[in-house]
Amino acid sequence: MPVKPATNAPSIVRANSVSKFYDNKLVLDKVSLEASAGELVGLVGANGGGKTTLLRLLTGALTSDAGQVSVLSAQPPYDDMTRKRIGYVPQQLSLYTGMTVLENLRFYADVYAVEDADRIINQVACRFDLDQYLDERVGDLSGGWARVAQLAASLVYSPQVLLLDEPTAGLDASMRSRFWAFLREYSNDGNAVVISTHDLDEAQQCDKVMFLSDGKPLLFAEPIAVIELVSVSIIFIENKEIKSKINKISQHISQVIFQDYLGGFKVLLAGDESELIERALCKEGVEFRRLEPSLADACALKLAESGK
Amino acid sequence: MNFRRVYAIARLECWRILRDRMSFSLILLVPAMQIALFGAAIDLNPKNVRIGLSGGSPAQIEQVSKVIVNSGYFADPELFQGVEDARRALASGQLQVTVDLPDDGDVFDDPEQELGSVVVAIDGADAGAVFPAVAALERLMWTEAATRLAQGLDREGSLNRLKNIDVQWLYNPEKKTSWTLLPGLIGVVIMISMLMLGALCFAREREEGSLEALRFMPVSSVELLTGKLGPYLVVALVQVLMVVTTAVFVFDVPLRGPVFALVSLAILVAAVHLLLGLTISILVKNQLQALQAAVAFYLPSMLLSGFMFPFSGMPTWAQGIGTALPLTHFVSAARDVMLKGHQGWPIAQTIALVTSAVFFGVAVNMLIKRRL
Repeated sequence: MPVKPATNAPSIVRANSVSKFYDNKLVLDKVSLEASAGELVGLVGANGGGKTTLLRLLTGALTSDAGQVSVLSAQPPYDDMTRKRIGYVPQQLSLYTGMTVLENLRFYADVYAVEDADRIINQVACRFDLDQYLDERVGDLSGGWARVAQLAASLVYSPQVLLLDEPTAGLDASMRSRFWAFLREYSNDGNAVVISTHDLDEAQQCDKVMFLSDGKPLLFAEPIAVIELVSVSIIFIENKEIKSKINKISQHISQVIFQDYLGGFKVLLAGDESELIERALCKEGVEFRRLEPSLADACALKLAESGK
Repeated sequence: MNFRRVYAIARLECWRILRDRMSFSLILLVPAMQIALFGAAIDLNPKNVRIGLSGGSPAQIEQVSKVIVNSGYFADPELFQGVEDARRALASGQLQVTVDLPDDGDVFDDPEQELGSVVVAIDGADAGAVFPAVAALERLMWTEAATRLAQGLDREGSLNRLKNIDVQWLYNPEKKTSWTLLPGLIGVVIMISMLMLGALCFAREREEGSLEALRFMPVSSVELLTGKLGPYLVVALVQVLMVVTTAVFVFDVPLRGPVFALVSLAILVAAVHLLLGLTISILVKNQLQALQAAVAFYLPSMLLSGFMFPFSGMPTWAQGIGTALPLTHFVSAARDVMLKGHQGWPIAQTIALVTSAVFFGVAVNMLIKRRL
């Protein structure tokens, strides 16, 4: 598995060949991950890939069956000092729905012994335009705003490490964009962020991504390096009707994926095999153009390579 | 009405019931327990009622002992030198009934002699528990006297003198049911509400998702436990004050012992049931299971604690279970303080409640660390 060290800073989040079984089923298979201060690391992959399990191992909520995890040089179960420096946003809303946003934020501030809590709460709330909802019960908020409140709660105590499990699910495009801008800024401030997401376009904004499939780490590198490593080529063809013809041409190619795209379709294939298709298309007089591959394209091809 | 849709909904409900194994087990367990308790454990006729005899001649003691044992309600009578010793045993709860025989010769065989009274003193704090037994005792003593008269053992007039069986219902002279029930009811009210609140506590957090974050917070198990218990104990205190005020001012139940003893015992029993409820809430998966488990606990508590049915009427195994239940000790302690005017905390019951609180406190603390 290719791993690219992103910075020279020491890793403050580390998983070293961790494995986890649920009811004798292997759900995480020798996964290694590192995140340094100032790094934004994404966990991507299909449902059941092991993203949440890995995050929960990092939080100490689960214990690994093999390998070790450590955050801020401490191993689970973490002491209170370490816990105060880790922020965790679980997949499921974990705020008290019968309490207002402000009451929830105060609760977090008190549990984490935040000084000057009122000022910090206001600061965090304003950052996400949450100040207008402070007196609303969390249960009365839309799903998106509830997620924002959840993130705000985990930021009240300014953790050095932020572990987020699909935090952007249910957010609109504008909020997602602000959310990622914030994460970038937060990691640039010298904090480590590990985030799981299904959205590979979002994950492209990470410094490093780990692609998990069935608990196995298929890739762990910078997004651009992932694209290079997978060496994916993309051909876009507007005329959908010739799809079967392309299919025939590509019969001898080991990995090829067709995806509907902008009224036509995309053909994803390994970089060194694209020439064959391109030559055939030119011969047939089919109009096509090359597209820049994205992380999503690279992951789709990698997933196909792994037999999924 | 579309029967296919009805069938689909019914099938869904069946799956939900059957696949929640714990709920399903409790659905079966609760009625089975009710049947077992009502069928085998509950008996309105007390047995082995603890009785003491004092005074009287050896012949009298023998006659009266025979009457007592033949009644089927009483344990073998304990003999006391003087009436004071017997009364002390009654006050301490060691006895439920005392019979003080006159020290003036054979009641039945010497009609020429002026006779004293046979005094039957009864612990009326739990009047229901001894009422049938005392009624039977009184009736049998009359029968014995009549039999002896018919056999020529008593001369004319002895029967008239026997009417001096003086039955004294101590602590509850009017045998008011409310006096017997209300002290115990304080415990029952607290038990139900604290058990429910405790059982739902973590179960609700688990279902709502907040437990995931709570687990991760830098909160120790003791801090979590103390923070959870505190507000509920205040609720318990309000409930105690409400029930006690109602009992004393509306139903005229006497509060002869110190208020602080009653209230502190009530808070103690509240803490025990809260801790037990929290234990349940850590072990179950959802709120339905939590409620069912709470019902499965408080039902036998109500039936086997002596609150509603005479403890002495139960078979040994049921008494064993009853003794293990915290409510049993509170019911007894509350009657001691309110009706019998026990000064301070009744020692045995207090020790039992403190032991329960420590046991469940340690259990919850361990479970929070390991299972939460």
